[in-house]
Amino acid sequence: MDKHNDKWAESFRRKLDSAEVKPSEELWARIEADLPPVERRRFPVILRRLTVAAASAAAVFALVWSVRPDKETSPAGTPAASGVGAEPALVAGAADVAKEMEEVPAEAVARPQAVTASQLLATTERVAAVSAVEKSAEVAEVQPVAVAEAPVAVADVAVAEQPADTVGAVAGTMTEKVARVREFMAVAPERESRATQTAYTSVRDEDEHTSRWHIALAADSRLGEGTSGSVNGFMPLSYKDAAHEPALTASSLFADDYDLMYIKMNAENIDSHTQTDEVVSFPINYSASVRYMINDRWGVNLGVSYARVTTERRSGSDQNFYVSKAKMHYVGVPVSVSYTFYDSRYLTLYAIAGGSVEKCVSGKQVDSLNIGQESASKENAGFEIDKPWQFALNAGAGVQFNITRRYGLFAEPQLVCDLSDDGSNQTTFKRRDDLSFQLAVGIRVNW
Amino acid sequence: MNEQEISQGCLKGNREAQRELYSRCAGAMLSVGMRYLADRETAEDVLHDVFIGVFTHFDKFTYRGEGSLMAWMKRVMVNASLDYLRRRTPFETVEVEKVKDEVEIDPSDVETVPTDVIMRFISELPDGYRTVFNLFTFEEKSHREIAEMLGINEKSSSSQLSRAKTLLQKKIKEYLNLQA
Repeated sequence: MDKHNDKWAESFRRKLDSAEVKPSEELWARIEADLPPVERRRFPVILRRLTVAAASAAAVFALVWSVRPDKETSPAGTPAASGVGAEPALVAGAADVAKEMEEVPAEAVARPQAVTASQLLATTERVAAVSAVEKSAEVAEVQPVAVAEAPVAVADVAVAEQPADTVGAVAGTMTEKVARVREFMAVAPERESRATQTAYTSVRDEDEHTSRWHIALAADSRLGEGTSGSVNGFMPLSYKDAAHEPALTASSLFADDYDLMYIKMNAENIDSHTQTDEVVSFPINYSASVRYMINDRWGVNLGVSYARVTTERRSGSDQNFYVSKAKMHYVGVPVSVSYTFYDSRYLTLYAIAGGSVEKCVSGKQVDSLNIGQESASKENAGFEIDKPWQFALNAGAGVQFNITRRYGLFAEPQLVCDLSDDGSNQTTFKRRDDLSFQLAVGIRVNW
Repeated sequence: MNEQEISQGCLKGNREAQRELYSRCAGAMLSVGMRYLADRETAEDVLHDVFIGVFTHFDKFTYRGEGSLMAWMKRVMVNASLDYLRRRTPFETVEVEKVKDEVEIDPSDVETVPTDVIMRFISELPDGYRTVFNLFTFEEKSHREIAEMLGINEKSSSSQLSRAKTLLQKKIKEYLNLQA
């Protein structure tokens, strides 16, 4: 290079290298106003949320503990939420006993009340039948499933194996019980059905007691999400603060080939038609949960969930463009309460309401540049993917088809309200809309 | 606070450290911006955006000794200014035939002219001349590097630099003649 020119350039450098121009007085105020708020230390925030979650769980368990049912006061005749079918089993057993009750209409036999105290007092055979059922109840203490699933067989066997010469002894024992029943009737006639049902309901109670816990596996998707869209124009690669991207492209912070290529891509597209296409996946949430039935109606659900969300964006001209692919993994804890308002052998209907907390545990974004035949890619482009906490509330209904007394298939349409602020901090997409419709389907096992 | 303390404070989002960084660097950065952008208001807008971006991406900086922070801030401002210019207009090219032979230039003339006057002369240059001049003179880029950065050819870079020098020298001489 010409030495003279070198000196000339050097003179300008000496003159202006250390030159300063005082900014306007209000410039710092503008900068400070636009800066994101100072983030409080994450640990206390997480600790606060964990404390709230622990307090909520403690409150739920305290509620459960305080309203746990007393077996003696358990209302008879209310449908078991588990839908195990203990009632149908007893109906079958009672129907066998009631065959000899000529005066008892068939419809009445279908319910335990059909075997009333007055009928117990009527014939020895009926007393023996009651004894047989009670014996099956004792069996049920040890093998409640056997009673529930083969009540007819047990009752039949119990009756068939009853030796004739022991009927009298059995009848004597039964007399005491019948006398007690009569006592109840004298004191409170309106309690007749409940008193006589004690022999039956104890069996059902045992069944109910063993079906308090339900385990569910489900998959749900927010309906309406997973959309695609195209807009005219170029969308710059956004990092944490997309609002200030125009002045700070990658070239501002780095000096590698990838960033120079990004500058070149923008320069090549100055007079080209550009378009941005975006595809957001349908995120599917997988969950496993446990439900504890506080009583026949109310239940509390607690589970864990996992979701993977992916999105892809292409922006630029036909020849010069970038493709940005992002993938994020969420793990969450859903909590809810359910109220069963209808339960039968094959169908259970319930309402459900609760909330969930989710955390993005892993995320990756790969940006690929294409300029004609040239290409380059960078993972995460040197920035830290936001891994936010997500909170949501949900409410809806559930319908369960009970395949057997143990297994059921369910569907739960719900409305989900997202409580998180994930608008400005996401790299390329939102986790979910503020209000969305969700459908969960799965299988539930009564444990 | 020294630069290392400022760096650590800014990394944590400490407002006091951010204010200190602004106080130390804003003047020099604005000077750089005005050299490239020629307009004070535009340069301040870019400066505002640069500081917002720097404070939110401060983990990109690696402290390498006293002075490294200032150097990094200036480099960021240069790149931001270039981005702004690139988005605004494509860089003009100058045909080689139109460039006159280089004018006789005296480096000492530059020393006698006040800084703000030199800045004004630079801001009066056309965008392309001014950008090439700044990159060559202050960023000490070669014509090949300038050509790659701006998407022009090397001959165009060289031509624009020569033209810029000629215009500046002419303005300096006119100024000195008026002063005399």
